[in-house]
Amino acid sequence: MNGFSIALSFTNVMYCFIGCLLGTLVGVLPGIGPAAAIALLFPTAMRINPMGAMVMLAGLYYGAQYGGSTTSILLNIPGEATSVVTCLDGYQMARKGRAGPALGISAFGSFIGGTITIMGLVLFAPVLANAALKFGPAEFFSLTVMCMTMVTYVSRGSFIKALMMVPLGLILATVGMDPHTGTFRFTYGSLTLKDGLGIVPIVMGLFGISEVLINLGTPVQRIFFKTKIKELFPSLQDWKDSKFPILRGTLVGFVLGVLPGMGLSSPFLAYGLERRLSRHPEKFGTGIIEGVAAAETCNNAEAQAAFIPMLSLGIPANVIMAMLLGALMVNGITPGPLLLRDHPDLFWGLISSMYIGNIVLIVLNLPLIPLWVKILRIPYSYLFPAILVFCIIGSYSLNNNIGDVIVMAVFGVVGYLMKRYDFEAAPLVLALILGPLLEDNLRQALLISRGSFNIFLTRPISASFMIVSILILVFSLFRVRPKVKAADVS
Amino acid sequence: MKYPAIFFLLLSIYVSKVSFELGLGTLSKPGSGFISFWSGITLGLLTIMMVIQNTWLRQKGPTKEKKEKTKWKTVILALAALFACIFILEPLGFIVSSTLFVGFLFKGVEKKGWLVTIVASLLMTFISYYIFKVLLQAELPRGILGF
Repeated sequence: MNGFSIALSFTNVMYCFIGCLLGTLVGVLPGIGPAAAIALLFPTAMRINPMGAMVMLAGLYYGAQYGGSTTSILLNIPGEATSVVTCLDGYQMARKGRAGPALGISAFGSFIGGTITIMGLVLFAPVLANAALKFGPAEFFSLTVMCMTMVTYVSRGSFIKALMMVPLGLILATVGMDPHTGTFRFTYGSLTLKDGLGIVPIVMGLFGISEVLINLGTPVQRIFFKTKIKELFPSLQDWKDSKFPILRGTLVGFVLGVLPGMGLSSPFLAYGLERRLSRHPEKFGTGIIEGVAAAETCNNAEAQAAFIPMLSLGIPANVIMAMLLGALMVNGITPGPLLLRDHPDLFWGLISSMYIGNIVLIVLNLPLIPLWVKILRIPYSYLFPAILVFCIIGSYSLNNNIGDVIVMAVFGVVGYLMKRYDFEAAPLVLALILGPLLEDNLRQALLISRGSFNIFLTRPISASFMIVSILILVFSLFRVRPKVKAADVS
Repeated sequence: MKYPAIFFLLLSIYVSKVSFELGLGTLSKPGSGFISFWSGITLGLLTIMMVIQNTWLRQKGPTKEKKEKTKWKTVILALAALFACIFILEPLGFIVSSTLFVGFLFKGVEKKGWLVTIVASLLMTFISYYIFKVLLQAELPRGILGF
């Protein structure tokens, strides 16, 4: 209840509202994702208290999942990567004149999925945090390794290319002063580099600038399907058809959201599961409400379940969680098992704000759909200069340092080239953020074991993490990788 | 995939060399270059694996996905404008450099009319200035205008 008293304070409700509003806007607008938006808001968030910052940034993240459905249903363009599956039945429903119920069930499904997941978060996060209190450097090192391998395992395209991004991220993480010896690494006398490469400019470059360049280079044709949006409240029959897809979507989203890197594939799995369990699988893709309900519930449940490993273990399940982790660390708060003990107000306040956020989002989404539709009509030629200006302001105002803006622009080019050559940015960012944790724990573990790597295999928890990592590597090299996206959706 | 492979190989050699000079330490007390050295070596090995994989796949005759034609001129112009804006940001200040930057994007990249260019670039700059500087109290370069 203390969490609710914190979350319900006027300022925190306002931050939650701003986060949810911006998140929905970001979700609605194709061409700017939650990662870039969080990066843009990061410097501003650092000026407010840690609680308010986390509430706002978290609201932006799960708000984007709500908003992403609007473009999927009305434009057949997913606002977010996790809304790809919603296009399949959502757009077909809109073509049949049922855009209203499709948008309605997306909002209600997301609300139900999100709310149930938060209950799971309340139950599981403290248990996991208590278990993690027994972790030593060896366990944390192995857990970090497992997290990185899992993220590369589920990445699209070549596994080797995804894996290459991990050492690259680790190399970038070493730039700056070595905290153990005080030696400067790869700094070349630059003051900006001496402080280490900032996460925010890099993320802004890799996700914000590169996205703009990609959109400028190969513009997406937006065909707006003109339809009247009526009957936003699904009918009784719609609810009957959707109740089990919503529940199963929540379960799939919850389980996969907790696992590092699996979140993106969860709506595909939920959709595939519904099609397999359905009495009329042939109707999937023709505009049936079950397809929309499962996918949209699942992506919102996943977004909120991703907070479990971040808050309880200090291990981010995806790039956004890595950025939120960074936001906490900038404020001098170390996420992980000790967060619940040392900062219970922040822990419970954030979770409580998520309940409020879900209510805010359902209130925002349904009545404001006509407004989002109008915003969708803004041409990209007017949007991208604004995104670039915001990126410049965001990276500069971080430390009032032009060096950060240069880092952002350079990584914008890097991100653009990575996308052109099909290298994924997510493993790189994750390795960059987890790099210091990995290095510190490796050094401590080797110090404890007097240089023996057996420490990672003789301690049961560490060994189990290592075995999972090795299995993932072996499976991936032998091409036993999830092909859920192609198989289940085609 | 030729250029990325060359780039990553050169990068891995360079990082490994510099890391070695930084000092690898011992196994019981790893030095400053330990992580970056082994990351460099791993990056190099993975690059070689990528080259082998690509060569092998090409021999098997994969169907290369046809990518959409890229508007390189637009991308390069936008990037050049971004770097130019960074270059003038501190000497000229946010308001002047942002107006020039946005103006160039509208006129040079998007080929909008002069009226749209002038109005939109001024409007966008002042809205951004108001949101970030006035409302959010962010520090922005003052430059020649002094605010």
